[in-house]
Amino acid sequence: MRRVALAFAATVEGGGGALRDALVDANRLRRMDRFGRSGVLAGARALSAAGVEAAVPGAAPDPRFGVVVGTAFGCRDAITQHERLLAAATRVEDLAPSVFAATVHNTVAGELAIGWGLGGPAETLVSGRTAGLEALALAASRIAKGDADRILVVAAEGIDDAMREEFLRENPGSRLVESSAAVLLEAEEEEEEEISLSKRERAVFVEADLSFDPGVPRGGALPIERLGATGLWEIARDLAEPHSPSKKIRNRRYEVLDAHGSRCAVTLAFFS
Amino acid sequence: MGGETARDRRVAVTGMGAVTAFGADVPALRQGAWSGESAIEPVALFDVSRFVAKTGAEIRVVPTDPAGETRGRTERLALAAAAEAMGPLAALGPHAGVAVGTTLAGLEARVSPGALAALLARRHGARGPVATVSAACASGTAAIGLAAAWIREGRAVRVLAGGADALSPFVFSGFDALRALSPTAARPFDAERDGLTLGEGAAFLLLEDEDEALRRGARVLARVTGYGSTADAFHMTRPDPAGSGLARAAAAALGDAGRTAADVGFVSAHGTGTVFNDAMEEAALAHVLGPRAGSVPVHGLKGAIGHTLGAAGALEAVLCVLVLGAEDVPPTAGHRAARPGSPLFVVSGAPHRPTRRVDVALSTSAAFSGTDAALVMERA
Repeated sequence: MRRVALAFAATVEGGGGALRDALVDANRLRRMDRFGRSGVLAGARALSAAGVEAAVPGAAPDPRFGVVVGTAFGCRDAITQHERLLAAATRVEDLAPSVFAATVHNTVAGELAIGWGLGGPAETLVSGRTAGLEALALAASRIAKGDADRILVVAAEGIDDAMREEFLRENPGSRLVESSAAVLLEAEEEEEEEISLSKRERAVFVEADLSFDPGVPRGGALPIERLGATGLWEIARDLAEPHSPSKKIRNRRYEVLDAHGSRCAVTLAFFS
Repeated sequence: MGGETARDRRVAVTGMGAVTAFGADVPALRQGAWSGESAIEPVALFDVSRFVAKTGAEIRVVPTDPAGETRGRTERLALAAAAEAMGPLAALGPHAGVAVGTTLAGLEARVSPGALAALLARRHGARGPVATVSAACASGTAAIGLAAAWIREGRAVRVLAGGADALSPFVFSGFDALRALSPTAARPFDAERDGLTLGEGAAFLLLEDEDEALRRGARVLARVTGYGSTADAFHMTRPDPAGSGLARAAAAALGDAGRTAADVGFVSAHGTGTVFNDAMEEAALAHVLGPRAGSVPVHGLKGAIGHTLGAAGALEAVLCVLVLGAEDVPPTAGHRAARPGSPLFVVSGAPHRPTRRVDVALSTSAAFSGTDAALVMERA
């Protein structure tokens, strides 16, 4: 099994409202819903930091470069838009095909794959608050097994007005922040026995633990609630901390609980 | 779980459940599929007068939740299929999980799509990994792929894996707006195909580490041996005409299983019945199967029970297990004649008895956003 390194990361707040961005074509941003824009912006920043260039139209995608996305509510914004159009429609021509096309939760994976030529493993997890860490665990497993050499992991939510109102009604003491995070995972060379800090690496994946226990009280929303972006947000933030090359290794454990009973914990070894 | 490697653990199918327009269990699906009949009829579940298309494969009587916990249509379909898959097994257990594929579960109740997997985990006593995947029309296939990976990695010894989605005005209107629906009925790979027909349903497989399954005396129905997923990276709603992404997913699944195209004895195709999907899939399968493309029997279940979205890949996996345990391959409902020059052998009219036993089945799924997925399943 190959070792998996975490190389580049990005975090974005409020990305769902961005209709212009230096890294993403404006026409593509316009066709996305808030979830799409939120996730694609974080992914684009991590890819840009890693020096991965946008796909050349017509060029074959890279079959060794994948994308795995985690989210709690996914395309809820597009779903609400289509529901509103449907409620008012008297004939099918009153609907917008482009809105319905965005009512699938794998749009972020699809947009990033098209934009940056990522033709490898493509997965989207919608498990709840644990989805971001689950995405990281799945991507690490696919790289370790040899299915891909690089996988962009994205955790994202897009928060529309209806979602925000509903959330605040049920969780008055909590702040809901539209968040997205992205981390680029890469395979380390198999023959490399000793863990060392290369120019690209900041941490390596150690292990993930997934379990379910409906009996443990999970509480309500977090004081600052990032929904499915929760765990990956913390990892991306820690990866971006200033650091100097070192051989000191310190394990950090990230654990996320979902209100429905799922738990996902990921341990990373940081060079610090 | 000792020092076993991923390659050492076999993923056994020890139970199956399916709810479709043919009926509320696997025998009904088997009987319907092998009959060559279609369950597609005029939609009665909701008013379709404002839509162009009028047909669907709806389930006339949706099972109720015996515990009365949910009234959601998708959730009730899933609960019924999961209960059938569990068979006599009382509880999944501490090292067991649930993997669900769905496109719109949770929509009715305005909860996260992940709530359905948690419901199944509570109902059947899972304490291991519980996750939900949503890759549009490839969701069911992806859920089984994820579950198989958990077992091979030692994260779980047993996983209830499958998919569920209900028919609703939401999806019907959307596909109608995209002009993707047939005015009559889906005809997979037919020369005169004119669109897909939506259906609804749920299917679950009980997957187990084969050693654990044999230890508890379970009968192994088949094995899941390979999974692959890829992105077309081509277009958000239009499939790559060359079928490159799906071909790569199928090749990855075969490679994962340690198989080649020469081993494949049956293909359960995505086969939506749209002009573009089926042409893409012809190209993909011709590439993967090579010279054998014209002789490997291909089946498209969506001509019989419609496109069940997140359930489709799981229902097609159930069909693969049925084929692996049968002596013949069911005909594709709705398929009358292939276009001249089609590279595939699509079984139609009556069941086909292959010259050699089907030991290895390939199931393919393709989805919006360009996600492709494939499973390899083998005779036990």
